[in-house]
Amino acid sequence: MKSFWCRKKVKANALYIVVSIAIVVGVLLLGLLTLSGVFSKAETRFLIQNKLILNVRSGLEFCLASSELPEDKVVDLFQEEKDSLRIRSAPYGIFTAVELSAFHVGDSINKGFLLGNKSNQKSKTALYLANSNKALGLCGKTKLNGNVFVPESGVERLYIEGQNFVGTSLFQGTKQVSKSILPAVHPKIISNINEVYAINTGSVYRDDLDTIVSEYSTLVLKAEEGILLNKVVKGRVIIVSSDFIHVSSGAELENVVLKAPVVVFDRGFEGSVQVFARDSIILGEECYLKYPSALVLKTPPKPSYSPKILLGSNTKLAGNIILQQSSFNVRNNGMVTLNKGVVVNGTVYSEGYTQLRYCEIQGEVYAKKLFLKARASIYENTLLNVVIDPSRKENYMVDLGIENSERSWIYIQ
Amino acid sequence: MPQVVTAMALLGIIISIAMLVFGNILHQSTSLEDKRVSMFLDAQVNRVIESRDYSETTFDFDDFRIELEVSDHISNQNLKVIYFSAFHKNKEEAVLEKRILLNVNNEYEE
Repeated sequence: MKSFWCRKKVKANALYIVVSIAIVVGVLLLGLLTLSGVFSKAETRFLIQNKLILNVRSGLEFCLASSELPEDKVVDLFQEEKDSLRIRSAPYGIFTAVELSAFHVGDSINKGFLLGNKSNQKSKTALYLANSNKALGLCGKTKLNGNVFVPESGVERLYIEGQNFVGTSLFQGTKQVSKSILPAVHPKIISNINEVYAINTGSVYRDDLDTIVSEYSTLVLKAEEGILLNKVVKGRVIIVSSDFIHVSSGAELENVVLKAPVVVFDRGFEGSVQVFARDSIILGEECYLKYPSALVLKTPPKPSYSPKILLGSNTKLAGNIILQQSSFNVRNNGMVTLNKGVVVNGTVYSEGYTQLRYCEIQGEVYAKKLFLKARASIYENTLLNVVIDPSRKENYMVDLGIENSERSWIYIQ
Repeated sequence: MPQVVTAMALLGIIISIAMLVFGNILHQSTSLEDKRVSMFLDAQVNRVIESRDYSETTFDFDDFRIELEVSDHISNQNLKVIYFSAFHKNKEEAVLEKRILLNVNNEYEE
């Protein structure tokens, strides 16, 4: 006799339905768990990256507060043995390039910065003219809005090209007797300049590339022949030529360092560039060298020519001009010439001649000797229609550390 | 009849497991409240960075509180280590952020 269960077929529709539901729910749960896992992993990664970004920001403040930046060092940011940061620094023109790397297990964040060094005290010096027998002569609408350091013979009014000195006082500030040599530029800046002039090797400069960008590491490109620069160059790029560099007005240069015996900029060029030359730096009319820029000319010991830095009419420069020469010679001295309408926001430091004509310096001028070529004659230590106003210098401007006050780092870019 | 009972029991177990898993996932994920607290914390961090004013130590909001703990950096006296902590009203810590900031205003001395 067959049992009830054997005789009658069990109907299991309900079980089939439940198993089907179980499979569907299982698939949904699996999907949900996978999604949750992926999002959880992404969120953890996001949190780590966020923490690393914050550590890089903290690292920037750490660098700004340090008196000396290490060449390559790993620091424990919070002294908790959790947040490590690698700091690497190297000179980049007259500035310092810093690379920060925050890392955590396999993740890391790198960020490059450009830092400059400036005095904590704002300079009140308008003009430092090295001591010689010749007094400082002022004529036209010359305005010296700050302290002056002048030769023992003092300051006098002059009458040149039909123009007498107009103004209530010769200068706004104090007068002191200058020394026969200019006060020295900060040793750190001198060493940075020497490092640029020592660069002698690099990758081969290719003329066929229309864009060169290097964000983190410094890229040195070298050419034995002259370079006609008409391309986009951005970031930490140093272009070296053994002959000349001619920058056309269409070139887009951002934070670039150029080194060559002769560097010439076409009329109307705009960009930020540090120039290091031996023979001459010539800027055409209406150029605009944006911050951070610098023009540096270091002359050979006894040149057979007159090295020069020339800024064409209506050119603007947000940066410093430095003309370095080992001694003031009888002939072939270097000369910095600022033509009519030139505006410089920064410091002009010239160990050769300095010729200022109808221009404005929003900063300080340190000059071994002033020179003025007028229609009829040549004048020494004379200023005609020149405004020198250190109070108008931008606060973020990197200075040359001449006044030996306490210095701190400043973030540039 | 027995298969219906079995099916019901299985269905119950499946739904229970599903709810447990779903609840667990929901519980593990970041809450909107935490996100909101995190946003407010970021705003406070930015405010402190801009003003460089470390004097105010507590910021009270409707349902949470942000506390600032300021200490000197061990290796550099020009630096401050700032811990920004956000707490729910039940004192549970929601978000923590730590930063190193310069102790001085970066302005020129005239």
